[in-house]
Amino acid sequence: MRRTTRGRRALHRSAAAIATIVACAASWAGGLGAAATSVRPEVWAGLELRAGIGSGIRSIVELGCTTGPTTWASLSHVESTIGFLWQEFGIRGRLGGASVAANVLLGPSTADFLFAQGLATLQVGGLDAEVHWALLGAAVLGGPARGFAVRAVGRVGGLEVVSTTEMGARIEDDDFDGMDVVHRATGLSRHYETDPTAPGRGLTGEKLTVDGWSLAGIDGGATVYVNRAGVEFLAVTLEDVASGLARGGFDLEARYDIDGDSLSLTPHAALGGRLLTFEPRFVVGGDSLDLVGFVLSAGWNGVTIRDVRVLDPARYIITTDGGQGRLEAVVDAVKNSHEYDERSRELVSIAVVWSGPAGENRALVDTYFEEGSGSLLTWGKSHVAGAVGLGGRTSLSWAAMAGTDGLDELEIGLTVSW
Amino acid sequence: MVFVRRVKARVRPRGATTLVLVLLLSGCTAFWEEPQGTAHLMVGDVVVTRTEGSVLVSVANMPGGGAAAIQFGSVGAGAVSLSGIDAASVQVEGCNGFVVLAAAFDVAAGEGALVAASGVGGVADGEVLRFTFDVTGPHPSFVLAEARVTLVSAASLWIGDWEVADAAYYAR
Repeated sequence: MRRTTRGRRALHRSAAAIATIVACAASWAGGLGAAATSVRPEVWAGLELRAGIGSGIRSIVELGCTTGPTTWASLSHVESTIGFLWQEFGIRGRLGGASVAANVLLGPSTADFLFAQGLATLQVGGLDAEVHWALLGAAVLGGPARGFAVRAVGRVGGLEVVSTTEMGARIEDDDFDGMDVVHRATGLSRHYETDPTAPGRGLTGEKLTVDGWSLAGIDGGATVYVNRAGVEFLAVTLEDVASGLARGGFDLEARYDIDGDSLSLTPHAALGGRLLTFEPRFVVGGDSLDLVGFVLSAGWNGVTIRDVRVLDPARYIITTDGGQGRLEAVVDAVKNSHEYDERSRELVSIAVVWSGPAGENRALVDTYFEEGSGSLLTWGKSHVAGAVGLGGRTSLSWAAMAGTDGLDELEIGLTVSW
Repeated sequence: MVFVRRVKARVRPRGATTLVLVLLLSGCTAFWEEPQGTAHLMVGDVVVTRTEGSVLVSVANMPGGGAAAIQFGSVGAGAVSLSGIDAASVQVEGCNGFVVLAAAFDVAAGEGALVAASGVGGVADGEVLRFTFDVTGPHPSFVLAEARVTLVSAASLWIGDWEVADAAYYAR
């Protein structure tokens, strides 16, 4: 009985929130209507079809319309194996003195409201302010949840101060990955930058960053993040510390973290038109400073090569979210639900972007080397992906994963826009 | 003079009103109930492509650094009951660091058991196991007996307070 009442209450609140969103959007659109009558609307559409081994056919249809300063967009995602998976609506424009944007995600196959987020960007008294707001529906495990966060950027003398005040929500940044709404049966997900599932009510966290201070000619910055459990981390960064090499130097980050302290040293050197970076990762452990891995990267003329190497697999791993791999602490990967394969010890990644007669093309080859692999050079698996323009607003994309036991994944996609 | 005052009065409240409205709207939403913190185990629906099927097993809100080991019953008393699925064809793969240590599927009884663990840490939110198999009937089912499932956290503690969730979506 208690659960039923609570469920009803949650349902009413969700319904009220959705009604508010719809009302705001309608009044917003209505208000803009008068100004929009003299502006010819620009309409566009896109269709992406993707077929893969064992995953059926995926169809994503995008529709959009720009009228004056306002842009409306719709995304429909259908999987042949499970049906109509996602329907998302988005709107972006201006409201008074603020730039505003909002997204609503629905689950058509289950007729559920899943997620909504809003963003207002405005200038107040010399401050650049962002208000992020999010609502997670009761149909999503972890919900219902609501919250907002305010990020304010200001300048004091030569210093840039960024304050993020969290009221039940966290915003994606260098230290936080935002939130995914995941479909349980397929693992497919939609990513959003505002996560309203921060524990607690009211003020749930505060992050303060001060950048641009200079000490003995070395630029630096500091960030502290406090939540309801106390100080989560404190990081001090020194940038471009001269190493004596021409056009070279290194960045240094010392981080006190509740999950483990670390010291990161990032030498970099600009050689000709190329940029070569070596980023060893050290961890402070008791009396010692341990080298747990490194990232070596070089880029020139649209080609980026990265070598990510793990030396202490008990504490560090290679995570694969976002392509080209990252060296990450196990605790961070777990906390942020990043994908990884515990057997991978090294990743060599080559990404190429080039312009063709029909637009921009790109290709990616990731090769993983694994501990215990009996194959040549301990090769474990390779992932290739890419897209090329075919002209006439059509592009062809592909992705494949092959391991020691053969081809695991193969996807071919066709995108047409008009 | 009056004109200047009126212009000021028009300009200033616009930005301030927007800010107050946005904060008011946002503020109204921030003080409702706390998000749920219960640990959950989720078994996905059977996804069928032609004659092959798959099931994803995921966790959410797992305490103690996340789930690091999982046991689905034992041989003769498996936690997985299969129907419309060829038990002999079942393959289990660990996700996000999980490695399947042992698995046994009994064709006659249509049930299965397994033990899996993570070698590098726990999984708080995300997939831990992926089952793939051949489908033999029109409505294949993959049912987990909750009472026969054991979970252990990365802090080497039993996770006793958890529930099976049947929500179609989860946040991570």
